[in-house]
Amino acid sequence: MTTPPASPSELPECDRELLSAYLDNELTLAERATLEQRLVSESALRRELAELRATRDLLREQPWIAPPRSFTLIPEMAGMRQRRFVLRAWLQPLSGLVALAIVMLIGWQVLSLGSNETFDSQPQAMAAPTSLPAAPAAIAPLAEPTSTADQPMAAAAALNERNGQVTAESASVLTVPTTAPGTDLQLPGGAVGNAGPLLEPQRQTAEARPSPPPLPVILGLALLIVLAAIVWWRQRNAE
Amino acid sequence: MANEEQRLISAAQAGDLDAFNQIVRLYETRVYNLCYRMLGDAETAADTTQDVFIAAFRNLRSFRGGTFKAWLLRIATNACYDALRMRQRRPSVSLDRNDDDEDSGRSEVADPGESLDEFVLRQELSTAIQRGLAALPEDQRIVIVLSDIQGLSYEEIAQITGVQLGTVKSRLSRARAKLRDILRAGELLPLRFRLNDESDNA
Repeated sequence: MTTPPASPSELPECDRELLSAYLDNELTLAERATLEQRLVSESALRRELAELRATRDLLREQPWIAPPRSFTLIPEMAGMRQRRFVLRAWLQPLSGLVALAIVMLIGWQVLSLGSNETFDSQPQAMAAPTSLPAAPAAIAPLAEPTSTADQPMAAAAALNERNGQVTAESASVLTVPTTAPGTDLQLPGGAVGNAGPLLEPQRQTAEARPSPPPLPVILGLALLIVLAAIVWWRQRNAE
Repeated sequence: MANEEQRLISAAQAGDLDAFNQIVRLYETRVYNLCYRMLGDAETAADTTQDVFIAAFRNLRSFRGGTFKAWLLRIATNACYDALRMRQRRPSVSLDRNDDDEDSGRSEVADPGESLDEFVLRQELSTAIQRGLAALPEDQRIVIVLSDIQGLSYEEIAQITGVQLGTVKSRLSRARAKLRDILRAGELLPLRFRLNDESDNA
């Protein structure tokens, strides 16, 4: 067996490219026909083709190597967090809307309460104009003092009722039939007035003047929530 | 098959990791072999293959159709280049490893009916070829691996490597000629496979 010396081919680069592409059937019909004509007459070209083919075949005959392990991913590899509870896809935006509605409702309640408290926190003397007419007993049975109860108790009951904290005790007091709508009432501020007219105008004024709807605040809150949801969504997608 | 693969890809794009792992099982041997032939080291090839699939999952939404195999092998090619660059910066592992190290991690077994001599010879040839590949420039090595080991067309190779068809053709030609020269030197190629002086054996 004779082993030729390891010398680079003396063929020009373009011929080697033609031969390599010829092996892979990547020549056009015209290129192929021209090359095949040359192969008939040029022994150097034939030798080069045979060697290139042998080299390519050696590579093609190489068996594929079995991977040493599996490369399947676990959630940690994929950057996914394990979630304990996952809503269905169509429920996720719905849950967001529900959360938004709840927050808006709570916000409305809080702001409304704040508005009422602001109104109620006015000095009693200012809220009890003396010129207001005495309210008829028929429309103010709950807040009127009783003739049997002492005045501080009646005032406390009225205050409790006004704050929406009607206790059983005050309720029992308030259910006593009224007899003296014009009874004077000693208020904590020291003002002396009529208990019926004092509280009823407040209620009526509060009802007549509902707190202005804090729409910009609500909208701002909603916008904040939407922005937070967008940020969360983008971060989730980025993961 | 193509429809099934497309279904798996769509599911994986929606975040279905199980679907993606089915894709991994389809392609892991191909990707691992590409990495092994490019890097010449089983351990680095395995790590790089793992990185390829992680990167593929994270970037799966950028796959807009076309040939998934080409898309995946492009990621693998870039990962191999990264691994080679890292190796150049921290040359703790050499491509010119001795024969014992060369086959560490390889799981070849003798074919049924193959004698021990034939098996040893085949192993020697495999080692010789891997050494020859390691001696090629990286841009030629990737082309010859994709063409002659992975069996891809010129067009697919151009798509994977991001070069023109003409460049693929010339790089492949140079790679084959250089590998032929290396193997012909006789140092790497077992005697049986040395090319004779085939003057008229076309």
